[in-house]
Amino acid sequence: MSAVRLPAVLVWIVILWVLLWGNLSIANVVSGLVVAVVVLLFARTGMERSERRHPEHRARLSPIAALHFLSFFLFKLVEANLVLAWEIVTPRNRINTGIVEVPLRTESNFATMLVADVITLTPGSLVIEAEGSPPVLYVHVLHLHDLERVRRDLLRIEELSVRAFGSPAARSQLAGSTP
Amino acid sequence: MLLTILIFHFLLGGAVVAIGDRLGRRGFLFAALAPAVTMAWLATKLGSVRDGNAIQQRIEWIPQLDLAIDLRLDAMSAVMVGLVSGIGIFVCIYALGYFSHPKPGTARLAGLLTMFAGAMLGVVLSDHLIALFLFWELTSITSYLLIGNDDRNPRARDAALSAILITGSGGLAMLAGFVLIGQSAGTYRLSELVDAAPGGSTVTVGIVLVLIGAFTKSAQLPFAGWLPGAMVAPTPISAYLHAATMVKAGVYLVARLAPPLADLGAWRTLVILVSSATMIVGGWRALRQHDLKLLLAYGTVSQLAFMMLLFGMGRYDLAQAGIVVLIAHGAFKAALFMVVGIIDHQTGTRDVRKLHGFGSGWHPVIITSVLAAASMAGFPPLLGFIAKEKGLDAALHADFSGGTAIVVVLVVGSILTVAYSGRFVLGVLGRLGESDRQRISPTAPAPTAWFVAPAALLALGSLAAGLAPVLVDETVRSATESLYAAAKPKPVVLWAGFNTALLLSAVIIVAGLVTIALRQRVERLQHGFGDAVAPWPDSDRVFWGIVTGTSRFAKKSTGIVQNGSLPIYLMIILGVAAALPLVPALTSFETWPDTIGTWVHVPIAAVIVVAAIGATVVRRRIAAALLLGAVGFAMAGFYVVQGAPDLALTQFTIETLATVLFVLVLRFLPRRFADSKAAVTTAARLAVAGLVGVTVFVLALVSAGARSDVSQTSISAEMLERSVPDGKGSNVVNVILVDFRGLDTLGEITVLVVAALGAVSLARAGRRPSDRRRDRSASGRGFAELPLVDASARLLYPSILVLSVYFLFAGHNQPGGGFVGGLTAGAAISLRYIAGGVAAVRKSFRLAPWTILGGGLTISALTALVPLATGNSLLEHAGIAWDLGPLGTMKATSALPFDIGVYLVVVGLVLMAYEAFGDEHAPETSELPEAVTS
Repeated sequence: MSAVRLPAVLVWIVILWVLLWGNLSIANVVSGLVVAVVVLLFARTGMERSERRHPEHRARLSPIAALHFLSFFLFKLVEANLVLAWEIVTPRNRINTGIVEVPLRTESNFATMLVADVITLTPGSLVIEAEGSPPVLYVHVLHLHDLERVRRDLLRIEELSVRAFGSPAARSQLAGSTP
Repeated sequence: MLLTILIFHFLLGGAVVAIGDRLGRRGFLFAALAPAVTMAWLATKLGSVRDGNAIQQRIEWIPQLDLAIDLRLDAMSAVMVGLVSGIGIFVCIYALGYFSHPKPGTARLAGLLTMFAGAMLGVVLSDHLIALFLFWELTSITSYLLIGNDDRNPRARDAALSAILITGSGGLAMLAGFVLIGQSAGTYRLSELVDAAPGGSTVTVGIVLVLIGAFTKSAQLPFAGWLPGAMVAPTPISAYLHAATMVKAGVYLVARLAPPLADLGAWRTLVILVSSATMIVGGWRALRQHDLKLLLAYGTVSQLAFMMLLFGMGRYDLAQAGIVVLIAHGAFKAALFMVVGIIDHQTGTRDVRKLHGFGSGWHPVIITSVLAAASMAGFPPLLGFIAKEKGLDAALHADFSGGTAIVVVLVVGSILTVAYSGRFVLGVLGRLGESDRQRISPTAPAPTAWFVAPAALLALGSLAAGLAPVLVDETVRSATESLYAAAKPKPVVLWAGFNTALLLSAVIIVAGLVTIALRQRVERLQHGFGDAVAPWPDSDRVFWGIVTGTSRFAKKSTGIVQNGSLPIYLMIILGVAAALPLVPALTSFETWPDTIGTWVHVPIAAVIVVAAIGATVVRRRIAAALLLGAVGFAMAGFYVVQGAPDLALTQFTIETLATVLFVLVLRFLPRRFADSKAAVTTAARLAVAGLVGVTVFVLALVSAGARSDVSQTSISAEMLERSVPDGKGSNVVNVILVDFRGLDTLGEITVLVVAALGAVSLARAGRRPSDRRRDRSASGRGFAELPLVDASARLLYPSILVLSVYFLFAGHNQPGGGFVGGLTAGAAISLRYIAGGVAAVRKSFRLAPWTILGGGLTISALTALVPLATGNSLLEHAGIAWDLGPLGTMKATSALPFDIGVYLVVVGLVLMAYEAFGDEHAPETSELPEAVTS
């Protein structure tokens, strides 16, 4: 299911805690650890299960790929905003809406979620449904002119996200089926 | 010491009940400890009490209302204590033999018996009327439990119910009477009532009510029906409660109150009428019984009436006779009951028609029953004879109207008593056995010596006291004097010389013996009489008629008042809630507030108005819910503008959760509101809705301008000022919630917990058992199984929880608090729900919803109570600072655990809501009441 491991959650909670209090002190880190342990003890996050999985299937963060993914996402965000702004300020209407079916290759929910989030966060495109395993995304697109190009763009996001956060197994599977 | 003895009884009884069946019949050995200790203590004090030095003890209860537990042991109380505890010891020993093969629940009987004895001692030791009432009702309750101990037996349950309903409601009437008498006398203390000598019509009403209480307890007509019914209880219980002690509570009360009240209005007339009838009817019925125990029960009814007549006249010489009867009756009636129990235990029957005499080894039983029955019949030289003789003599010298009537009643009643005593003896001897019945008794094994000893000792005691009345003389004299300070009692003697009373005694005995000899004719007469009165309602039938009638009436009226239509309930509740405050609110309305404060208000107000109007006109339920949400969010906007981020935060979280919950419930309802068909309903709804709107508007206006006496700024300024020094927090809203107004918060979360439990049980009650099974099997599937949302929810869930914990801890000084924190956690739970349905919600917390809910409430309540234990006031908070060395100092106040409790309650509430409404399967539409969908 999830690709995030328990220690990562623990660290994340402590960081969040320190950020919420607004100053980094030993007391805040220690209390953050306590809070993290209490939250994870009493509230089940559903992430504990990933610990039990085979190492091949465990998610692994690859920092360089993650940076790559992040910069790609930011680039896409800026680009989409500019395109939309251009669309609004110019009198010409290039809008041609439609729904594109994008079959993904990864089975990882986490990767799927990242892809869907990126798509939805960039203006002009929106995930309206996801089903099946491996999932098929149905994406509403504002500027639908070249179907294959849209698909290729979206699959590129998937590839980058798996490279950044996927398990070794997911990566090799992706490598085997590169279009 | 008096209170210690009472507490000892309750503690010992409670312990025996708690240990329960592991004790078996040995429970009665432990139970005997309490009366034994009491008797030993009484023995050391008896001398001084007899000399008129009453022992008193006062324990303040509610001093503001002048309520106290006043205990007082004078000579009359000492007689009753001796009766209760003395016979208590005998009964406990007897019970060891009776329960030779203990069943489950036998030890419970022993424990309850001890508690009963404690309650009974409380009745006879109380000097305060209200405390007396308290113990009085306690005896009713313990008696209920003792009669109904065999809870699988429907007859036992009915009898127990009938006993507690009759004696309990009589007790309530008595309480009202106590209040009337106490208020007009100016004192509730028995010992002071004698001198207070109240009067007036209030007191007359009070007298009637008090007598009703006494008559129900002592099984006088028309309330006598419960006592024969109570005979389903095991014989030791009957012997103790329904012969020797509890039924005498009414007599005791009459004895206590007669001196100041007997000469007032209704008292004497009422007692003469009721108890005369009871004495004769009881005796007549006793003569008809085949069941030995029932014979004794009706005999008890008759004898109680006898005592009522003696004590109730307010004359010391009659009362003196009454005290002798009290003692004599306690001894012989307990002995006779024990004999019946022995026969029942050894042969399996109590029916005189199945008894054909007993074999060898039964002589002690037979001698005991003959002695005890002779005392009951009033044969010389037993104590019963002296008692009756004294009663007759005093009645003959009565100086009030009705004295002659009493003599006649005593004579007739006593003839019947001789007759049924004879019937009892003949039955035990086997003379009434029918030849066509199986002969069981001649071969029945003889009882062991221990089994017979208590009864035999009591019977021998009757004989001894009869032969040497000096044994009881001193006690009787002092008891009489404690009731009537001016009494000059004559000594209790066996031979009082030739007088009218002796002649009457002779007449009674002869007439009684003749009745026994002519028993076949008497029986025919009784049959004829019984057939003649059969169509008339007897008290038993009337009682059950009232009981079933009441429950039928309750059912019918509930059907009308609670017709199940939610709109009607809502209309009534809202209508009343809106109409009542409207008038006082309008009258206190003074000035209009400023129309517009800041111009930022205008757009927000516009949103609220548009959304609110929209909510009333849209036809789709979901749209209405969302529009209501919009109103709420806009209200939060107002809070932000006014500079109340805390309120805004709370409002935001509440609106979010409420909208989600709305959507959850709306799934089960039709999409659109149904059009109402009747114009009347529409008009009524419009009227109620309009009324509510007007009231809220007016209330808002008034509350904005209210407290003109106190300047508003000074209140808020004071709160701001005191927040840090008193509440140890700079977030004033939170300090108000957990400190200044902490008790309100505690009440609110209690209501929340109750509401959550109610919602879940209602939602579950509507579900069929088969549905529940389906739920479990299908619980893996979500409400809308979205893999994307699922993954995000899992990621966000711990983060939101951390935020909620932050709100909880930061709340005292910054925006936040337990309430906001809990709601934030609720939002996290909602996210899990949307992703994975109720199964995901169940998985998301390790503890069950109700555990979290109850745990939270417990923590808050304990935090509120702890300051009380240390002598501070409720909810007083203390600030603590720990020096944690390198980590710095950690400051906390005791408000934090209170807030944690609030947090947990809110989280539990959200979990409960999903538990109640979050199931995937909508209830069958047919199961929804019509009212909900219309």
